[in-house]
Amino acid sequence: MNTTVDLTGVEKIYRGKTHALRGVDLQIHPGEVFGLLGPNGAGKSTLVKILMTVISPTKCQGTMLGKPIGDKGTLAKVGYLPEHHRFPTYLKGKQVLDFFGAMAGVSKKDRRARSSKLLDLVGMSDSANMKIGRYSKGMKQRIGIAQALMNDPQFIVLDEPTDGVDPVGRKDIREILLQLKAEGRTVFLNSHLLSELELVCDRVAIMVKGKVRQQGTIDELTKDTRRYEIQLHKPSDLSKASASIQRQLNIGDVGMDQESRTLYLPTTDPAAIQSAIDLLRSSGETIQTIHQHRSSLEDLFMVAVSGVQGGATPGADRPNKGGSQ
Amino acid sequence: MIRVFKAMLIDSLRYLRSRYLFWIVLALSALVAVALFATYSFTPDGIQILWFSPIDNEALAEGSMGKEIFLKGLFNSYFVKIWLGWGAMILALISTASLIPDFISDGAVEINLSKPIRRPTLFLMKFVCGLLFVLLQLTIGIGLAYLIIGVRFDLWLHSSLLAIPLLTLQFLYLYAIAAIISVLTRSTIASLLGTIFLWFIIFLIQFVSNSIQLGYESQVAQVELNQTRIAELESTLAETQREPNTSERVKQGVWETNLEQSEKLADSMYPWVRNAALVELFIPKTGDLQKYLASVSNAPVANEFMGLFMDVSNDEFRPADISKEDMQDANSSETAARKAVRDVSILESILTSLGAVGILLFLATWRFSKRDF
Repeated sequence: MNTTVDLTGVEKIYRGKTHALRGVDLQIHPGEVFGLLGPNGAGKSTLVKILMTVISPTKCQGTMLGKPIGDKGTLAKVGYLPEHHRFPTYLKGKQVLDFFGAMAGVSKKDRRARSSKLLDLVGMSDSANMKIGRYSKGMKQRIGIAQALMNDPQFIVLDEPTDGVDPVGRKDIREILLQLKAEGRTVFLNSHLLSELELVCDRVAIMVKGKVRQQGTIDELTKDTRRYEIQLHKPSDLSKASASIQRQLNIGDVGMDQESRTLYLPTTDPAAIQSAIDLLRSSGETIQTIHQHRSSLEDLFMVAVSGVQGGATPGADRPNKGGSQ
Repeated sequence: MIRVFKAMLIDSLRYLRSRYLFWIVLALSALVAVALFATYSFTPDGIQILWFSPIDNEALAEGSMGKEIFLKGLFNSYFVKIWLGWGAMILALISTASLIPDFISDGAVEINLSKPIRRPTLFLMKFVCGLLFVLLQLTIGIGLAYLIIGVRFDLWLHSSLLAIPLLTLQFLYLYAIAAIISVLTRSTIASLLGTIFLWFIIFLIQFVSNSIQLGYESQVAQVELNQTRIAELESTLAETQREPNTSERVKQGVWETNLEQSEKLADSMYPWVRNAALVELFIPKTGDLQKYLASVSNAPVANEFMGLFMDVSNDEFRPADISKEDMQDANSSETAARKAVRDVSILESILTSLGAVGILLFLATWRFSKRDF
């Protein structure tokens, strides 16, 4: 399969001391929205900056759009919005688009056509003649996204694009991302807002301490965390019920939480659940609720960061496994 | 590449237009030009300042040679050397000091470097754009002065227009220093203060070198003067076929003593002149450009300019024990020495200065290219 970005063993050591990246392997496929997650200091920005030639890697094997990482010519097909970007405050919104479009090698005719289209897309047409210095954070983000799209890029890298944007603005940006995806562009998102990423990303990678811990589609990453949760009403003996299901249905370790009177059945098979229900009813238990559980991106993130399953999935007694790493 | 450079030039122009200092310097340049060249007129008997009573001065009267000397003196010594060469240059440094630090500041540099332009090209383009401020200021300021002098006094000092490229070159020397400090520190204040400090060091080196050279050239002029006097006396004696009288013998003795002393002094100073020139070889020579400009436009040296207002050889100014002839000779020696000092080899000066600037720019570009931002 062709890849938009294919990285193997990317390392970055700052001044021979700080090991920011410790051999990052990452693949981003054409036409997908890819999310990179990680706590502060995980090395996400360093990785993005390496892709954008802002910093040079200590060690790097890989390609972006088929060219070696660091190839300046490739950047003509790449759009980039850095985190905490600072546009010249003396420029008006449309002048920012024109200037950075020209810097990316876009002809004057195309710049004119694209800037009005992009201003519309990001909802900034009315403020296009206002100086950047007067923009709010959200307006700057919108102009920043438009700027990243001025060269009609195949690959778009957005670092915290919804930073400082209000909920309406975040929704707008989500829609823009989906539109970009629909146009066949590849989008690389670096964000702290996990719920946002979950809504738009096809694949994600979780990075911790300079390494990619998990990588794959959200379905792949949550596959092993899917289970049924059965909450009982005044159970006579929860441990006995758990042991009985485990023994008779052979579906692996059945977890439980005494406080919430819940059994965790590690299966996605509805037939197995029917048998479990029959078994519980035959032993005189009253079932209060049944629902199918799937870990959220936040759960995955917390597990990857802390190294143990917890937080949002109390009672679960085994760590998640990634889909592909 | 041309598209990118054009965009960066337009961006720099917008940057400058947004700076109050740009307009202030422009207004001040116009004000200085008007004050120096449009506030007086020449009358048949002298000069009249604004509406005040005319001042009688034959040297400055309409139709005299003094008028041209006066205007050239004002243009070179005051407008170019003091205002544009110092005042406007410092203000230009203040205005442009943040250009490179802003360009490589966090949040801006990431976007700039993510464009398909090689880092050295990007940096050098930004550097050239920084010269735009001075180029615009100089073109407008000097152009205005040129027009005022031409239109009001029918004196078209074409060579004065050379000040535009020469002073831009002077700013380039200084801006190269600012560029490397900017890349190393990413700080506007450090860049500005560092540049002004190094400029001061360069000024000191040139000042010392100039003083040594002026002292040396004064002795050389004295040697030539005394040789001429002795030769003239010997020629007179040969023509008249007689022995020198007592007065002539005394004078000849004094001249020979002076000649001997001046030769000794000149010989002893020569190694200093050579060493000073050697030190200057490695610095951007900002002062040489103004010297060349004064030389090529045949502007008066300080004592020539002052000579328009007072005759130093007349009794009022001359010490009692010095004859009028000696005073005139001393004055002409000083003029010759000052002219000799400003008679620089401009090509050599520019090439060696550009060599120093080239090294600074190479280091700045190399650092910019290799640095992680």
